[in-house]
Amino acid sequence: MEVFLPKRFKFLVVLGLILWTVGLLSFPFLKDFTIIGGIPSTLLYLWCLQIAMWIVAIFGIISWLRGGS
Amino acid sequence: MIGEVERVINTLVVLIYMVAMIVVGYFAGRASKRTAEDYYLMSREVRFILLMFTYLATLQSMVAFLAGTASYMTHGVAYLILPISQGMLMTFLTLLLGWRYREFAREHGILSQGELVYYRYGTKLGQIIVGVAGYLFNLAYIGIQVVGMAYILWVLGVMDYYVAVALIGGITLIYVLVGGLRAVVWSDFIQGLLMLLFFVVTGMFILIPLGGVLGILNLAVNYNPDLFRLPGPAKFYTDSVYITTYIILPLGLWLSPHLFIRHYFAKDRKSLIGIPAGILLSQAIMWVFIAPLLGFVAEAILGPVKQWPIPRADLAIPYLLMKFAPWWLIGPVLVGAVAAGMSTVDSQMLAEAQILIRDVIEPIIGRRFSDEEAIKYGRIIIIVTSVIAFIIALFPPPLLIDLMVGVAFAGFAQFFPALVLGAFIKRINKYGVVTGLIAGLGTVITIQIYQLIYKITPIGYFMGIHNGAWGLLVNIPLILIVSHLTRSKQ
Repeated sequence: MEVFLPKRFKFLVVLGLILWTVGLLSFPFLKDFTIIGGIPSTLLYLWCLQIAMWIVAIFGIISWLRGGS
Repeated sequence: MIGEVERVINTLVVLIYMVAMIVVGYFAGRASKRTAEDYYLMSREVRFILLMFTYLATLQSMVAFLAGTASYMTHGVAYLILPISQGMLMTFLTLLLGWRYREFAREHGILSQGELVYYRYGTKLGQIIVGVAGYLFNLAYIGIQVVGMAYILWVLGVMDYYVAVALIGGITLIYVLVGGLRAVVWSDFIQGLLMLLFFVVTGMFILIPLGGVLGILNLAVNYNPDLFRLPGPAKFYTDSVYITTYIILPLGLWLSPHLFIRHYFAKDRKSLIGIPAGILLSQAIMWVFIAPLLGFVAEAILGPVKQWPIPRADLAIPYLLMKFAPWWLIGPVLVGAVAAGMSTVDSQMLAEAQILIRDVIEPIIGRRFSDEEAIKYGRIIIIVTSVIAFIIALFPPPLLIDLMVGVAFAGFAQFFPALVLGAFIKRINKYGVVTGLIAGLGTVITIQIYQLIYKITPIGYFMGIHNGAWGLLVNIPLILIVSHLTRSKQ
């Protein structure tokens, strides 16, 4: 069963993969921290990464739903 | 410390919840169509909201409710990599492959994970390997989750330990037996709601008095700055542990049989979105904000774990509740924790029957059971499996339990080449798949046994690398090489 995937979805898959890889390779930046606005920079960084991934995932879901099968 | 009256009321709250689950099972059973497809897959007609809640409730077990906070306490910010990797990987794997699995499963009447291997590659041996591995790894988890739930109820004085094991195990068993997936899905819906609701309530009661996010972070940074840098307070997250955990755990989780088969019963395209929606919603509510903040601040408030009345990190939430929340909240929060556990155990019990019937017994006897037989034997398997799981969990043979639990996600990750790579690489064939599965699972199990015999810690990681990664390092090259060498035979 082949599934038609719209171009925008493929783009979001690639973007998601890039973000996932950024997370994978983030360990050197997590070895020490400073405080930014009362929040440790490592935590702030991971929260931002997580939110970016959620946004890509939600757009991915929407774009997948618009594709046919 | 809470008094006798309060304890009785908390016990009643938990008992009312348990009775409600039986009622749900009863009504679900009445709606059943008495076919195998209905008993195991609810006639493949589960809609968006139900699929979302059954997936999130099954995904977020007792571990998520209590041990997640404990893990943030032990490992600090490093533990956030798990939801980060999970959310992205599991969402896009479902979007890329979930629909294909669902369509393929409908086309061939597939109920289990191993059947995909059979219909894709034509190998009964591969199917049986996937079935046996899936069954054994799940078995230990069922017992351990029940024991974990009973332990919490006992520690907090709600009921006797053995009574709690019997009640939780027995009630889950009854509604699964009566209603099959219909009961599981409807009870998961209620349990998922309770779990999310009480987790948020717990967070609010504890976090607000501590000065909100900034107050808590200030407290935590001053108490132990290692919480906010690698390798974390327990010095666990070295570079290699970070990388391999980031890759393996989400794969192992997504490929767990009780979660994987949820792709099969989406009613339509929109319904399938319930799976990624469930993953993202439960992460947002439980894993990314509330659990880390509770974990970071737990020891700063309660002191080091070893000084707690019962020195177990997963009791952080109950102890924090006792300190900050009114007594009447303990009962409902316990219901949330038990709901998190029961909603995973019920799905695992049912999946065990599907696995054993379709992936092990039917391929061996060489025929497919009728609907009546599949339901009848499935119920027997659910009872026998539950009894075995509870016995080994109550009187655990340590080596066997450590082996099965330690190896579970590493083992499930070994299905990745057969079930995921095989969807993209057409030349992967049955010879490659069988060789890869045997080699990958064999590697994982051998390393685990070696670690247990020689007491090498941490269990699950060898030379700083997740055992699942060792397995895939053997599995993936072999599957590709053997498929290439045997291409003329296929």
